[in-house]
Amino acid sequence: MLCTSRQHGDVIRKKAMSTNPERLSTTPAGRRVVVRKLQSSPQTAMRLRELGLRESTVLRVVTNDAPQLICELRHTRIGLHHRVAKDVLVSDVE
Amino acid sequence: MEQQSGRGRVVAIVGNPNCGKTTIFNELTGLRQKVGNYAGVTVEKKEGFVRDDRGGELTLVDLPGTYSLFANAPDEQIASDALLGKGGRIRKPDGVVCVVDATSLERGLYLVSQIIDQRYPLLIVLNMADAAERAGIHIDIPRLSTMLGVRVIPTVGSKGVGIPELKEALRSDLRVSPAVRKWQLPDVVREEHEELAGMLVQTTQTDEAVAYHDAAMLLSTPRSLDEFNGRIAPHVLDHVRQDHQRLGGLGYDRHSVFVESRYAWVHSIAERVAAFGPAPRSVTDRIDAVVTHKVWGIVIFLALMMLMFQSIFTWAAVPMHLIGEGFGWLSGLVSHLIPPGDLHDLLVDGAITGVGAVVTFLPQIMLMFFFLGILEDSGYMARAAFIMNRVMGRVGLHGKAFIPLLSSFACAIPGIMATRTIENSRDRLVTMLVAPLMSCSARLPVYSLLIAAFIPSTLVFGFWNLQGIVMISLFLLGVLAALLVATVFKRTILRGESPEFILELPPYRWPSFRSIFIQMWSRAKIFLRSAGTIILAVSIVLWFLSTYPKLNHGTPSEKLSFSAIGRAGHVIEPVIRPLGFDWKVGIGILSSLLQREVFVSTVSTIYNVQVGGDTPHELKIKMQNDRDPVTGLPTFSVLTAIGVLVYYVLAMQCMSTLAVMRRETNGWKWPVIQLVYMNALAYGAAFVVYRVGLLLG
Repeated sequence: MLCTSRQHGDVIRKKAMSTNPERLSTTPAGRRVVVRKLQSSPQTAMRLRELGLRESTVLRVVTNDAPQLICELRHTRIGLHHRVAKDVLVSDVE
Repeated sequence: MEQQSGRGRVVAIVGNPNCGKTTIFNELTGLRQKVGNYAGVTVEKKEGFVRDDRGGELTLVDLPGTYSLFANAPDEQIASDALLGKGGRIRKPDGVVCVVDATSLERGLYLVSQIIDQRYPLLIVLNMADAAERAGIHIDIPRLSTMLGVRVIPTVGSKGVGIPELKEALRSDLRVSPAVRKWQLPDVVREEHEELAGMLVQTTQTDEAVAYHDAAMLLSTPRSLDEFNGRIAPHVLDHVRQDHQRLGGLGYDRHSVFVESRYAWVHSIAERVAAFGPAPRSVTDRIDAVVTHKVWGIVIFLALMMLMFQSIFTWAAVPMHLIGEGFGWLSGLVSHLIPPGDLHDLLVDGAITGVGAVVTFLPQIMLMFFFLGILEDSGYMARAAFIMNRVMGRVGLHGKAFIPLLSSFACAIPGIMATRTIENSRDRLVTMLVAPLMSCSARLPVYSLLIAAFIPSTLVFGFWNLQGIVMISLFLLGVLAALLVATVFKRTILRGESPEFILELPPYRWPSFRSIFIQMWSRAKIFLRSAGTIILAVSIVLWFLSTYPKLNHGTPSEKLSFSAIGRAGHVIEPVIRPLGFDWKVGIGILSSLLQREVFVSTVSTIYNVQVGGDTPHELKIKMQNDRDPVTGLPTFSVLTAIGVLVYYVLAMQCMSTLAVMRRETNGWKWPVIQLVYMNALAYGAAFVVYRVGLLLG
């Protein structure tokens, strides 16, 4: 069944705000999380935001094979080094 | 960068990396620019023409992909400069076609918001509409069009869907720009932004739209403002510094407020026009779990490389033989028609044999481009960069650098150009310096000739052809040398931190064999053109040099030694003798400075003058049987052949590559460093191989 992104996003974000944040680098593969905060350097944070990885974005960790992981934002996959992912704080939504 | 032609209106095609801009451009213009399924295929602007409704021509400019007009890398800078009219000789476009990947609507609209800010007449192409449907994304296009105030045309560029409508819209609809900027900054930030933009209009003589962009960039930049000294008036920079402090004091994160404000607007639109079903994931996830695994990923990558090089050797054998037979038949025909004499020898021993010896390798080169095309088009290329990031990180380079290096297997020139996607200038320079160490297709004829002549075609472990193993070893030697040299540069004269690894991974898709065959054909044309011009000319000149002055009596070897080329060869022989090379190899190396594959036509012509013969594939037999007239020992041994191969892996012999290096680095310093270090490395390595080989007996 289709739902609008507004309904979908609101439910997920409400759930997520009630849990403690963790680092994206430690999130196991398969988990869906919402981005709580970007603690990266301004340059890296700007790049991540321009790619769509921003606070309140819901993403899914596809693989997490240290020291790198792949996450999926909507239908875009992004490969990140753990040095970047450790500065992305996320909360579980499932 | 070349001057754009002045005819008619100029329309730029822009969009995020890998959203299908070049496919759309090719469909509109009928051109065949390279496309691929990874970010960074287009790294320079390309032009094409379309007829407009007034009978004139519309110039379409395909720009490199970018996520934002705040450029991070040289390829993005080209797109940004073109749209902001800062490219010097690049004419500012009269309109823009912004290609948005329908599966990444929000990210595409983020760039759209920046283009709307520039007041361009705008068309939006919602490309990959079929992929969006398959992914469960439904976009209300009329509503999107209404909300943005511009026409939105859905397309499937790879199938030509929507192209007629786009052509029509280009002729008629690309006339008006959206009326107003749609996104909103917080009031305090907006006031500072507008005030600064006004100051920039007054002090830099830029138009209001460009000043609007520049002001946003100055307020949000993570870079030091000192970098703008000389470009921005000192009092304006002081004002920006005060703004930074004020916004920080009020609790605004100046680095993120512009991006977030734009995205808030983009998000509000996406919420209203798009519905998302559950993303299909299982197959792609399973592929990625294996292909990007830290162990299996590297095993799969190496296995793919092995398959490629084994196939190049085995699958190409039949067509290579047929081409050789074809040239043999042509030689026979000429021999039948022209009586023995100099003209006969010039045509048979010089032109036909010289050109034929090189053209024989066309099937191998086409096969190599076929395999690289599959890697590029399937989405694997970015995965290879992802898995190799671990290795590249150890030498101080970014995983992104692996894509230009892999592209250099085809040719170092596009490889060097592809470094424009690398953000860090030092990393980019290191990648450019080592890219020519990757074995390009021009080396393939040299490798194939020497391997076929001196490495036995036996099976190892019952299924691996030894010749194929040697071939991949040469390619691996180039990779290892590149990594080693990169480490040295990164730890010495080009030391510095690399930016963090962030890389978009495109979706997997079936390769477009049409586009792969187009690339193979265009490469074949370049190769055949070179064979019909440079190699033909060199073969003719070499025939003259190896025939005259003539010695009327004596053996063929004595006559060759007496010729101009024989004398020149003996002059340079002392330099290469320590490597175990004789003067014929020396002449081959010298002539390779024009193009590496000229080595094959050179030795072919020299041996034909010396021994005679009709077919190019007899060359390996002539080389095997060649004896030193003084010692009676074979001129070529397996050891000598390996030495020549190692030399060719490591040597810089391509003038075109050096010219591109000069263009990309704005001077001769780095091309000269590249020329010196590569040739010194090649000489040293060949020396070590020969001397150690002799010691080992």
